[in-house]
Amino acid sequence: MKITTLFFAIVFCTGILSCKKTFINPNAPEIDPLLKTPEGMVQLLVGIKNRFAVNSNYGNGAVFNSITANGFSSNEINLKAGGNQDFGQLAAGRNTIATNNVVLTELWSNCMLINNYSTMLLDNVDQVAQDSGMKINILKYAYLYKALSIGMLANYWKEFPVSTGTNASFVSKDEGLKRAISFLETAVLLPTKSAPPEYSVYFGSEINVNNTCNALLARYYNMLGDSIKAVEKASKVILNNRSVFIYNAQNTNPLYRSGYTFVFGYTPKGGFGLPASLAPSPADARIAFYLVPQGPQGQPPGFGFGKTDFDSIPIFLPGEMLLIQAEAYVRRNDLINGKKFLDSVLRKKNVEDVFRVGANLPAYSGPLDSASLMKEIYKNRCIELFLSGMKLEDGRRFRRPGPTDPNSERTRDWYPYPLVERNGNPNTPIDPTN
Amino acid sequence: MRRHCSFHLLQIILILCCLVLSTSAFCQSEFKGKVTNESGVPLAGVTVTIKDSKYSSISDSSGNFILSTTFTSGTYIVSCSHKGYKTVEQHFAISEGTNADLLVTMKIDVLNMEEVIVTGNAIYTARKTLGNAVSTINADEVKYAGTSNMSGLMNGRIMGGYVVQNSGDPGGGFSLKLRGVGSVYGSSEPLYLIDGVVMDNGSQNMVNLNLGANTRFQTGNNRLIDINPHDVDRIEVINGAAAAAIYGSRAANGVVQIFTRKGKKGKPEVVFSSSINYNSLGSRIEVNEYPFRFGKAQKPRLDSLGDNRTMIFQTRGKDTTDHPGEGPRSYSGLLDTTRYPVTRYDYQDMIFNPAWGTDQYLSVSGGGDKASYYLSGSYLDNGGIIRGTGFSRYGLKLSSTYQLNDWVKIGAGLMYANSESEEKPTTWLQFSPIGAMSHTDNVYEIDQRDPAGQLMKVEHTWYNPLSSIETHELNVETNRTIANANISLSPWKGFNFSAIFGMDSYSQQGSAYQARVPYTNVSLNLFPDGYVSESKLNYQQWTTDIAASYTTPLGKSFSSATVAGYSGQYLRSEYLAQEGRNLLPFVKTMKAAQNLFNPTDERQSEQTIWGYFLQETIGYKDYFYINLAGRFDGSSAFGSEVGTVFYPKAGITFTLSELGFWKNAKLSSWFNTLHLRASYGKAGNLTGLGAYDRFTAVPPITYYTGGFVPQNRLGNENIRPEVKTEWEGGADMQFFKGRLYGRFSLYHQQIDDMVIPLTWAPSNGYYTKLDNLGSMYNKGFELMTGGYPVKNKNFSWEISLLYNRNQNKVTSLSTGTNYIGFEGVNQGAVVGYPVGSFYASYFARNDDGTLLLKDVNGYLLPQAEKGDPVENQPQRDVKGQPIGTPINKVLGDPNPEYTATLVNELRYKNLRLRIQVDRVAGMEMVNYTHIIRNNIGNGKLAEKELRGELTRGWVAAVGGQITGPVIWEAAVQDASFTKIRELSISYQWNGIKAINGMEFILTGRNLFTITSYDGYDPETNSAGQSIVRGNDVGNYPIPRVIQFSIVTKF
Repeated sequence: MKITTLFFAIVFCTGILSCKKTFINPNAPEIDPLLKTPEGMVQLLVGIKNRFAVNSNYGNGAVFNSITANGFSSNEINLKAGGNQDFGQLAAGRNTIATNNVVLTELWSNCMLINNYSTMLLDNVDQVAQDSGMKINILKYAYLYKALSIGMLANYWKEFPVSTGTNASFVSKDEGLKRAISFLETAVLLPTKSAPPEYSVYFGSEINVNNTCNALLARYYNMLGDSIKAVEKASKVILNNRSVFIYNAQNTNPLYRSGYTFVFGYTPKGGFGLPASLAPSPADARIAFYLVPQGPQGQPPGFGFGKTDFDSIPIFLPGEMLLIQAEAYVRRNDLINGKKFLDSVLRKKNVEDVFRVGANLPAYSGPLDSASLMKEIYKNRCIELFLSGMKLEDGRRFRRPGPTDPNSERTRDWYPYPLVERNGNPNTPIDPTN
Repeated sequence: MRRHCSFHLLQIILILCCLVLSTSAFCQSEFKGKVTNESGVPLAGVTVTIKDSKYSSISDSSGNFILSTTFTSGTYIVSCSHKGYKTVEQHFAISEGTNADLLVTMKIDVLNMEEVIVTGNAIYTARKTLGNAVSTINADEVKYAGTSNMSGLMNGRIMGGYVVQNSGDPGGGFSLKLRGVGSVYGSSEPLYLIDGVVMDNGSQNMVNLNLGANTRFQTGNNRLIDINPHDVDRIEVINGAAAAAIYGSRAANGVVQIFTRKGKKGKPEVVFSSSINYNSLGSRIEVNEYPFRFGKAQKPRLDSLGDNRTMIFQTRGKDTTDHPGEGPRSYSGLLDTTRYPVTRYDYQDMIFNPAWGTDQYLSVSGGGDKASYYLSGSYLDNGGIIRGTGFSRYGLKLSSTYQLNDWVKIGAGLMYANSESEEKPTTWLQFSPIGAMSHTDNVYEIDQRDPAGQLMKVEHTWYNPLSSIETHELNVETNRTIANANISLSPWKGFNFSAIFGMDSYSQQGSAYQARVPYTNVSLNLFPDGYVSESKLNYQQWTTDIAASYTTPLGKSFSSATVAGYSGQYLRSEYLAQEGRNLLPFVKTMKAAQNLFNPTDERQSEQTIWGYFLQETIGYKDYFYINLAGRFDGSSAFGSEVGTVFYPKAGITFTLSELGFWKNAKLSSWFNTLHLRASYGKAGNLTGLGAYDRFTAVPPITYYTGGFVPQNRLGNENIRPEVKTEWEGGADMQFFKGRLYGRFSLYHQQIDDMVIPLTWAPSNGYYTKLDNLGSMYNKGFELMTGGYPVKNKNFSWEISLLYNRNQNKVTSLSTGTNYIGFEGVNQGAVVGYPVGSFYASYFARNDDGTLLLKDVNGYLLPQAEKGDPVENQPQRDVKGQPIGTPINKVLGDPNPEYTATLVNELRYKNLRLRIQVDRVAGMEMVNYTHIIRNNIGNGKLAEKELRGELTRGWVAAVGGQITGPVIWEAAVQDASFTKIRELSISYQWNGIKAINGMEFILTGRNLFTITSYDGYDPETNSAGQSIVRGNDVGNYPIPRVIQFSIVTKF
């Protein structure tokens, strides 16, 4: 009897011993299967775009961190209230900025992550995309995002890696921009072909990839001082074609949510934060666009490209293309053409601009010399491209007073390298003092 | 969804059929007798058993017992055991039909060395055979403790245990650490078992979904609160890895075993307990009382964006261009030095109110020769001292055992609890009651209302602190069932087969509703347009434990006990949440929301853990034991490359005082017991490892077409549990026949393979990777000692002291990293320092330690230290001022150096007085509230600056607005405290007729705190039960509780 019972007890227990040993994560796929299907690849492109554009639980988007860091360091924004250490450090600038500053660390990491994922798409696209339109579009967008992530780093760091990997080596900002340019040139040279309709929806229509590539080429050539190429590329850009990061109720405009209406956020400085010598004309219609608080009924107001949750943030403005050409011509000593493009910005009415940014001012009437024109071009870049993440680079390029100069207009030239990079990568260069 | 560790009903039925078939017949005889102590005083409640049989009885109040059942002639061993006495075994011969009359004398053993401890789900061992210390708590004590939470009861009652009440919420969360912090990334909480079933003690965030990035924070109730302490018989606490190896991968932080009450043989016993309690704010914080403010006089309420928000540490704002201040230059301009008169208020009276609570409990229990039963029901309702908070709990409990025949025993238990927690936003949030109060200068009449009866705005962008009370309704409801079924077979002498199957299952529903605030221009992150959230959680955990044991004498002096077993656990959880804002009026559900601003959050998780173990104990006589054990563990959470993990254990004990030479020596007349023990073992910790953390996940997002978003984290198929290796040694001693006793342990724990999200160089293309990196240790000493200065028939006085000392140190992290910070706070793991150390900016100082001040347009103000970030060393420029980037250093440690509990217990006849004083010392707390309150202007430092006793700009300099970043050193404060934790006076009335006794108890809990800490309570923690400790951001103070209870037995 006892033996029988025990036997049954043991038989019974063997049933229990069979535990399942592995479970598949029902919440999220792994990266490998995504890289093996065309759907997975385009869905990853959406995710990459999201890391640029949106502040989410996964971290703040590169766009927000770039505009915020740039805004504080180049005197565009005021800290609303104390309490946010990282904003506070940026607002104070100079050597107050710690190497573990969250905004900068996140911006750096985000660009590296985007670079890595874009590269994975570029490396795997041949094996996956059967359709040539599909393949071309994946390549174009992946190159665009990779170049854009490098270009963002070039705004803020003197040196940075352009290829991710263990102990990645650093290249100079100029070298990095050249790499970004080569990706963009490759992308624009690819024939234009549309992807099959079931996939084209994932690429979206809010970014015109060729136009954006040309605009970024113009921007980067200009940053490199190649005025010939800058004009060539800028003139190719279709100015009334918008390329933007888009937002909706669940992916809200980060400037509005995390900047202007956040209790520890920031607000634009009066007069664009410009010194008296560059003060905007009171008649400048761009003041109304960028500096006058506006917002949805019953809700706190926002500014500029962050007036509501749903405002799109442009990747480039038409005005930038005009000002690049103005600058490039002046640098080539073609003052007539320089003034022509400057005037086209000054005289632009907001209704003529695809983003409704327009100065609606008379043409330039100052002295027709290179220095005066450059000063006016710089001033207009500060206003036209207000809070777009360009001003720090502009300040350096136009040799405006730096952090250690009297009447300084920016609190940093270059940012220190994030501590996490230094700790994990022996190739990290020494931090710039300012 | 299918369970993955299953058993079949059919199999159970088959077994039961077999069991009931076996019976046998005996004749009726009777054992009766009396049990007394050495002085001849009768002992009640002694368990008397006939060894190797199922027969047992309990002595009555005169010490008499009767075992009236069926015996065959022969010699029997009668064993008498009683807590606090040494077990006695006496041989008696009996012949059929006759009765035996015994007299048993028991000797005092205050160390309870004979107490049977459960050391593995189904393994029972006497304390004296264990190589490690085990604390036992008699849960009956809860009636004197003034708490409705099991964790509160454990406070000051466990060797090596550090209990912290993290929040003064009526359902407030508690954490328990045994021998210090056990993990950097995971939890340091022990594994909890209730009647052998693994139970969850997690803290789920159900109503503070907008807490944002600080997701590792665990605020709110810890789920042990679902257990009614009245239903608990005793708690056994196994402190470290040396003892817990047999529990495997989840036991590195120790094991807490809860045993619920069972019916006892005898007449049905009815217990009714009823209590009422009064909760009030123990101490207030001091607020600025100086009726002036810096700046220019303005409207009493700042309604529109154009109005200037004056804060002591910032410029007025808008009109500063035309009318700059005259003071030191801050980053936003010149600060004001002029002052204007204001009225100062104390908002504490409007946020706090005293609250009442009640606790009712009824149980019926009893049993016969074959079966026992226990039934209870309870209702608890407790109010919080923050207006509008409360906690209530209904509980039902049922358990029964049945002896099928003389070798098969089955049992089952079922516990159900329904609890509801009414809360306000959690501390860390700026719109929590204390957070909002701290963030508002106390110059507004916040309780003033407009003609419509609505609260009014105080400042634009900001919140009226009373809105945090009046517009937020947060509710969490939990339904929980814990069930167990067990079977024990003893077919042959010395052989036992036992199995426990159990399930812990709960569902939670969290609802948060925040009405639209009735005023405009409030920052959007405070949800002025209203907020609603719904969350649901289903949690299930299945436990299967099977063990076979064989005990046999080996020759004359040796004995052997062998146990082999299997343990399997299956965990599953499903979480679903939705948030919405922009609410329509009148509706409080998700339907009101016009903006579902966050996508639906859903998380599912499944995990299995299994292990096989073998344990061998060899005994020599009854004073020398060696114990060896090992367990192999696997889990679905381990990386696919890992396989199984092995945890060994070894222990040795030696009762020196049982040896002949000792017994014959003069020494033994006063040094009665000396028991030495040592043990070694390993155990694992899985808490840092999520079910799917080994994968490189790319989660879905709802960005337009939908897609998959790249993550910072790279998976790891080599990930395995953290391993704690522990050495422990100690002794148990008794002197003067129990008038003095002591027990101590020394231990060293080495924690390796710590699961750490390695922060990589981002240029790797990923930002973090979860990996087994780093090591740390805990070493310490724990002591329990006590004695009876006076002890006679009517009066006794017992003093006992519990002292725990622990030192934690991180010895390595990943290569090249000396610091890994916790998310959202200035603390983390620093090599060479304890886990959780505050690592932040500090005051620049001169060589003599005085502050190195910076001249800011004529104002001498403090500044943060600067220097070389690589070397982390301060640097000075030619003028002797700091130069370089701001640098950090370790500023404090949230882990106490020691905790001590002193208990005095006086008894005079039926009157009892118990005083428990807790001291927790040698730790710091980072008082963020202190910085916030002064920056805003309602703190005492701000008052000093207003009065002119401090240089203008001092607060702003500390707050990071003038001379550099925030100087966090100013917020780090000594948090040592001494608390009168429990004070109870009780009277036991012996009752008449149907009433078997009544006890009247008046208890005070957390009556008085002595501390230099300037926040509400140095014990609380904003990060709740998480690894992040010693944080004060608007923490809810722990109330002072006065409770009156009556316990009646029928």
